[in-house]
Amino acid sequence: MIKVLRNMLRPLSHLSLSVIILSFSLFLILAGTLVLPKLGLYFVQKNYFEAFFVWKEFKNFSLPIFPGGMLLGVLFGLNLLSNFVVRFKAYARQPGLFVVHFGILILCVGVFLQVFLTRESQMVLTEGKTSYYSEDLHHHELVFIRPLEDNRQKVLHVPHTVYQKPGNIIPLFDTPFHIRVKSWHPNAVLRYVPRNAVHNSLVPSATQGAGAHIYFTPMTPDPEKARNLETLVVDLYQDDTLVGTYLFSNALEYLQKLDTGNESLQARLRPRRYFEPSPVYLKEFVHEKYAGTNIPRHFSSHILITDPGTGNQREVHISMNQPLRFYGSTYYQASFGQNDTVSILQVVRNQSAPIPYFSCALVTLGLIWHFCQMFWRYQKKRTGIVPG
Amino acid sequence: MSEARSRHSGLTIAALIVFSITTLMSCKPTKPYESIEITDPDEPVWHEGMLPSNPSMEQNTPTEQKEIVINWQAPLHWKPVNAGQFQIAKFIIEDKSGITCAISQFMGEAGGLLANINRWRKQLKLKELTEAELASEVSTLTSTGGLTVQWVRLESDSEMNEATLGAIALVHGNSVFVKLSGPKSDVLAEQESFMTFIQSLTENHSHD
Repeated sequence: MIKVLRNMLRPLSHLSLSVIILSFSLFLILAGTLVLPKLGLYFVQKNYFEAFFVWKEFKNFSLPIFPGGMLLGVLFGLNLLSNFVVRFKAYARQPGLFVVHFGILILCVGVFLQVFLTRESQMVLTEGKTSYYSEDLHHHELVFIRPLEDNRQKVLHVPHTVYQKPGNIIPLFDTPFHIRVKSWHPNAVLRYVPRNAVHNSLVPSATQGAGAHIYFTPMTPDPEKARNLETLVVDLYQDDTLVGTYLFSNALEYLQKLDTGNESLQARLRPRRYFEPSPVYLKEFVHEKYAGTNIPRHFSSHILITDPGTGNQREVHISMNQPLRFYGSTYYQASFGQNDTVSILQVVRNQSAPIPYFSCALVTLGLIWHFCQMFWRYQKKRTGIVPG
Repeated sequence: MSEARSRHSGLTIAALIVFSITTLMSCKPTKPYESIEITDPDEPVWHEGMLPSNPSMEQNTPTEQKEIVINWQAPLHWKPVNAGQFQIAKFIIEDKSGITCAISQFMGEAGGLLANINRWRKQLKLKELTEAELASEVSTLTSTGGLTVQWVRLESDSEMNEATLGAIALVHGNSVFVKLSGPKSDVLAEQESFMTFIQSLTENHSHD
């Protein structure tokens, strides 16, 4: 049985496959680095390193032109795993090498998990105010909000996979209202159409809300997704009767009331929100410059957080090289604005963060083991005396 | 089982693993879902009369700036045509095919007087002005509607042979631009009509 399994896995365990995968990886890293200034970090990360294939867009179709980082990683992992089965006896003679390869395999698994488990967002804090959530820089959601008592609201989250498809129908809570996606554009130029634009051919796509004053032109999406103005036109229906047409865009950073009669409903296309374990209160933002210049010397946020476990409140200073690690999230000082009254923290949540450390420790241990074993054998062979 | 067949099975298993991982990774949230959130008291709500946002939509937060409507009296020989992007009205002039007059309206100062005049100067390949030089180039008038309008006359060199008459009015934090441009002789011949036009600019309060 083991022999059959070994035969099955032998082609996958071949050293030439490892060499091919590593060569492809080197080329992919080089290509990704070269296109980085043009396409942006996020695009390259998603489409080169976290994709199974690198796709080339032609006029009417796309073709995979090179294996992506994910495919190379999976193949490399399979290559290492097969190696364990096929060369089990060799590993038994050199346990140090087994540990090294196992460490590398763990690293591959860690990188794979990181794609799913890492979350990066930004928390915008205003001096003297509390923030409960951070916002995703790359993904939006269409939300419908129904106010509740006690400073709470019921939110219907419509993910991008739903609102990006024209024709999709979304019922609004348990009301007789629903919306139908009319059109979606990954990027657009929006402009305000004043009421006196009488000689103008520009007609807003929406009939209700802010969109009734806005004309938009669809544009080719920018590879750096964060710069795009995603634009969406939806029809609001009560049963089968059209109530109005609304326009939503991430450029419109406010809620729009829907014409839903007695039902109080508001809607907005907003960055996806992540509610953090503790509300964060910004006491003060400090921005120091070198005397006589505008060159920043130091900036830091003085915040108050509450431990959700104990309920204790504590003051924390976050500065450029001093992030806060709190309940699995790391808060970095990222930016600031509005005359230094607003501080922006980058919130990184990476549950797979310990894996690379563990993997590196294993590889180090394995190498030390292997070198000691080799030295032992060498000494034994040379002098016939075992060292130590 | 022969060795070759085993190897073939191994490759099939590898392909299946890669396929399964690809399929798993393609799974995305496909359904709307509900949750309860704490209300953000600072999240603004749009209301009628509030400007929707900046015309260039530079990710601006909404503003309480007042929406304005500008009226004018155009000379009879100025014929309205469809306006281009970022314009609220556009005119061509009878018998002068090369001239157009465009009216645009932007929220805020849209770069300010100096930047806009230098932009027009660059279009005519003229040297940019400094803040100190600006005052001597710009004239100011008050329109019949009480608006303060600053205007300039810019002429290119004889090789390019073009000219621009430009006016900027700042109304309740909104910038209104009027720009007449084309062949130098035609533009200069239209200066009087242009002055009449910018003199006629008024803010319409009837919609309030």
